[in-house]
Amino acid sequence: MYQGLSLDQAPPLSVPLRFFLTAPAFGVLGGLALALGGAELWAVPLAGPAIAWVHLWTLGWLAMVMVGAFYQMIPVMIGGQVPWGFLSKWVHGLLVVGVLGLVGFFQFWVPFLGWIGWTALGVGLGLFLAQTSLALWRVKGEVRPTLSAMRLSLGSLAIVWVLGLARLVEHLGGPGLPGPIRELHLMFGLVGWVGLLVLGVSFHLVPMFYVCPPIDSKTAFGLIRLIGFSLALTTLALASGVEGPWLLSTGALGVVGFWGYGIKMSRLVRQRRRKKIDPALGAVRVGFAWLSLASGLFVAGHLGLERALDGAGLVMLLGFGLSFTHGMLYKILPFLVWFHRFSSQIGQPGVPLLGDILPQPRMWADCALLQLSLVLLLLGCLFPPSGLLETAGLTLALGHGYLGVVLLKSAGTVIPPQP
Amino acid sequence: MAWVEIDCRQMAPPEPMVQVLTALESLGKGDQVLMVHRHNPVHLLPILTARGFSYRFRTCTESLVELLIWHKGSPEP
Repeated sequence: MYQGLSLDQAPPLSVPLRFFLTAPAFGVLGGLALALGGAELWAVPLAGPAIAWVHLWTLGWLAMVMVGAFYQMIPVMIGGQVPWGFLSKWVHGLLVVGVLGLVGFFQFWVPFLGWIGWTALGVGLGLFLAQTSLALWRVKGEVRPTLSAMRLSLGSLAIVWVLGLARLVEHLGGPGLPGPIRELHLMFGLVGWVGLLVLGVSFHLVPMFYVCPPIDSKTAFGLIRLIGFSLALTTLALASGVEGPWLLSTGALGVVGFWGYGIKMSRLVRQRRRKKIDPALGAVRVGFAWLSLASGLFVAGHLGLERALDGAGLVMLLGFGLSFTHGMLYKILPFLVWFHRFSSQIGQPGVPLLGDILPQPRMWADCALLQLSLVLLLLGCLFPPSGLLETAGLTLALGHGYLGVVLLKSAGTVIPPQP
Repeated sequence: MAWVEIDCRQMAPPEPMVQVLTALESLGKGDQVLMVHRHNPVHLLPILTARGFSYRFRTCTESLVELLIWHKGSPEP
């Protein structure tokens, strides 16, 4: 039987675009900070400059891209409606100010900047969480894997947000916090917020853009539950002070979940109709390889390899997180520009195609620069005094500057004048 | 009355939208386009409304939907 369908429309192009176009600026800052700080940045992992640098990537790049994507994905992918849409401008502005304040505080130890960061991130991410939680809660009908993963991802962000704000107060001279707050903040950020969102988004976008079979619901839910279960058990283990094999085994459940995800999605992508590898697929594939390395380092760290756990976090954050989000932008940004600006003009001469909006050679160049930076960064961590870290910082800054220009050009595409 | 079926199940975005909108350019009064797709084409719907078309949906399976499109004002099929 045919039924009328009332679907909420996509948000205006400006909503996701302002987040996507701001993120590369923080990538440039992150690269420059590494180029200037070099090996000293890594000397003490918990020192201010190291915390500042990590948050340029987690908040400045990853959260910036993912928050923008969330606003776009909720209406389009799961049929939800984000309330108070005008707040996205405030969320964006507060996120920018918050990241600058937080990074400024940890870099220069100016408490005033820390309080600006605390307030802006508290309000900005709080507004975002309120908007999107309400939207996801209101979605009616069957709960699909993508919706389930997005809900868990958002719940993880809420935990990261609360713990992060509490930690910042501690750094600003507040009372000391009991328990493994740093570990929980890190775990829910990387595995819960980033990892689960990547799973949920790819379940929907990969079959759509690559015309391959979708993942079956049973497997998808199984993977999400395994990772969620691992998060819950590891939280209990950390909170109760358990270490060694028990902590390794609870974390290993999550590792199995991510490996299972990588293997399953790779099999599905191999069945795609168009066998050519485009830059987005290339970036995502390399991202899977980084994910595997992060998992291996996680296991090695728990088996006693010095600093392997810090390495696992770094590879997960930059290798997996950056590769995947770069790949996602290669697909989503030109499509959004095309849809909002040109789809209503189909049939007219000169209407650009996706490849005209963001040409593949530019995406390949960005992808190559990013992967070169990541390899240099990894080698630089292994051989700190070699100058490789500084070089990695320069290439990261250069690559994100290039990506920023490329994305700006894409966003400004117009129909060329006809003779 | 003519009937055009466009099977978009093996097309990547934005090809389904381009194919359907191109077919609608030459759609006569009383004619219909049937779009067969793997999922709801959410981006297409507001454009159809803006261009003066009506549509109805049928969800056949989790990965098969049909969208029937005709000129607003023409008799409903």
